[in-house]
Amino acid sequence: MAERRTIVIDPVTRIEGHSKITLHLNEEGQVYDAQFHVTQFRGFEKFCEGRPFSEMPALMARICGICPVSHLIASAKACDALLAVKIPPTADKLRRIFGLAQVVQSHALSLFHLSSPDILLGMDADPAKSNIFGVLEKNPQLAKDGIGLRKFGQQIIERLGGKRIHPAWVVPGGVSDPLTQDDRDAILKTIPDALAIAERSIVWLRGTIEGFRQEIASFGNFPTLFMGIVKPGGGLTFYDGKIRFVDASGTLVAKDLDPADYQEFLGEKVEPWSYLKSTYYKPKGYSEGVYRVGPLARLNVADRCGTPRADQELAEFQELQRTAVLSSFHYHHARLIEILYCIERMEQLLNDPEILDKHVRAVAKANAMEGVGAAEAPRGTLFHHYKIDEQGLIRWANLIIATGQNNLAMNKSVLQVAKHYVKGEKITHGMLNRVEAVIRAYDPCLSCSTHAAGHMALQVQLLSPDGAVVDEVVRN
Amino acid sequence: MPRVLVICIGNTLRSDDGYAWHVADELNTQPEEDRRVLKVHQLTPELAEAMSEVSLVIFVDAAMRGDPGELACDPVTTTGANLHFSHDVTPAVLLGMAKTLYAKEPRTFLICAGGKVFEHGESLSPEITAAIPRTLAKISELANTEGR
Repeated sequence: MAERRTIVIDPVTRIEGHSKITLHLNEEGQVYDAQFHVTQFRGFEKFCEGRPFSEMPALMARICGICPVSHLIASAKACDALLAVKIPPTADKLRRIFGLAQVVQSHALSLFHLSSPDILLGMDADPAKSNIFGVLEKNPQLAKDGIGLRKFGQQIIERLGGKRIHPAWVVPGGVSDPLTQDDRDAILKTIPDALAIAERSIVWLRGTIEGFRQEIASFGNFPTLFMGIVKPGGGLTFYDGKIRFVDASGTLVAKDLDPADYQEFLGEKVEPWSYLKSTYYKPKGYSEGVYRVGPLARLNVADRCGTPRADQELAEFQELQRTAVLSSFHYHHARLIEILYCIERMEQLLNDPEILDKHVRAVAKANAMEGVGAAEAPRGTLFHHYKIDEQGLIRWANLIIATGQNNLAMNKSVLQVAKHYVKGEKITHGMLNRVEAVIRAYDPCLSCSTHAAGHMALQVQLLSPDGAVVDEVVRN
Repeated sequence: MPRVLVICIGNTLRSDDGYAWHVADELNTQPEEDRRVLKVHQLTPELAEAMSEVSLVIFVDAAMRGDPGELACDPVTTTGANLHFSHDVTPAVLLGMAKTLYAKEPRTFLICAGGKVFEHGESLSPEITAAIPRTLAKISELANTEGR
């Protein structure tokens, strides 16, 4: 009789950060359990304690080199709440442009550089070719387009924030400098090319995903809730609004939730096998409260995008399924629709008559002891929550990151894919690559999300050769 | 149009890791028309396009290997280049991208100085500080002898 086996995929490649996947196979060679472990650790929530709150946006931007702008924005919004000010309208619009530019470059990185080898070359492609160079050889235009969109987003961030990575331009009360006419005009000039790339890419993806019916059926294709921020009236937004939950049928479960009240509807749990916290919808409890965030969720909760071309694409996207679109494979498609929306929306904002106004910052001292800021980061809803003392020093901080909110769904997805594909005596690269690919679909950003300091659980197991647990030590 | 691109990689908040940015600051005190200097925290794919526009690329970085202050200058080729993590783009990966996408393969070198201290801090160790003039001389030598 065959023995139980464990397969470890370490590291998971082509994602942001470091992780591994463990698959447990029974005597018949069938997967019966799987875990996605995040093995890196950062403790931002802890080491920011004692710092002046005004430092928080710049400090928090250092969490990530891919989405520092999202942390800047959510952090600055938490600080706005501490100041208890309404920021100037132009600052509000400039922050939105900044955030949209980052979504474009981050989505482009995920789709074109990390996931396109799977989509373009196939899940079973030779691992020696299944990388960015394989993409370059097979479809150079696609690779150039990926670089073009990244550059487009990065240049806007640089023009507004002074540098591409870790800019500190978003500050409590607004932004530090207004937009100049030269920079506005320069950005507007790049919009048509970026739009053309987005349009081409959507055509490419639509024509390609037909070949992935099995993956669509098995890549995180199960009922969960979906969560996202929508603007008043239900439109897509990345900056401000109320939170909505819809269920797998597309029915509204909750609406008009204030992000500042997140503790009332979101719970967090730490598992002993990962540094990544798992977030769940509190009213349904830990096991039933699985929800997804990010591009797929945003398009499931929003009634419309609010820009002409993105709305046309959203209408087609909603035709994929009569309920909410459930397969996590469609994160890729959703990402491209969001890129289209972001470019169109930036053009609208840049043509706003107020956009060059010089009044871009409200100045105040702290007027509240606690503040929450929330925004839609590329990977999903991001919360920053701070408490300060009388001196304005941070006494407590909590960050809820998109990747943590997708953690339960990612683990379920790994199990679903592994059960579907990993079986038999011979384990192939294609089988295991699909297990990794479903994680890539979520585009997890692990450096952003590992902040479980102070409640890190630990589980050490001593296993016999046949896999039986001989001894176990648990700290929880 | 610049002929030489110097890409200085580092983090000035991690002591000697900021060495390349100090090199960039020194280069920028004497700007040259045919030389472009970039300061970056990490390598990103779009740098491939900038590389395709020049005939000589010089990466400058601090290294954890080697004796503190020791300078190494190696040619970069596309052999074995691969991209596993977006945080792990290497000069070889970028050169491969420039070659495949833009049909340009500029002569490319990586200058590394051994660092001593990589803890939090904004100052450089004396050893790596002493490597800065030698780095500038090496860049000048490469610019005069390579990629013309």
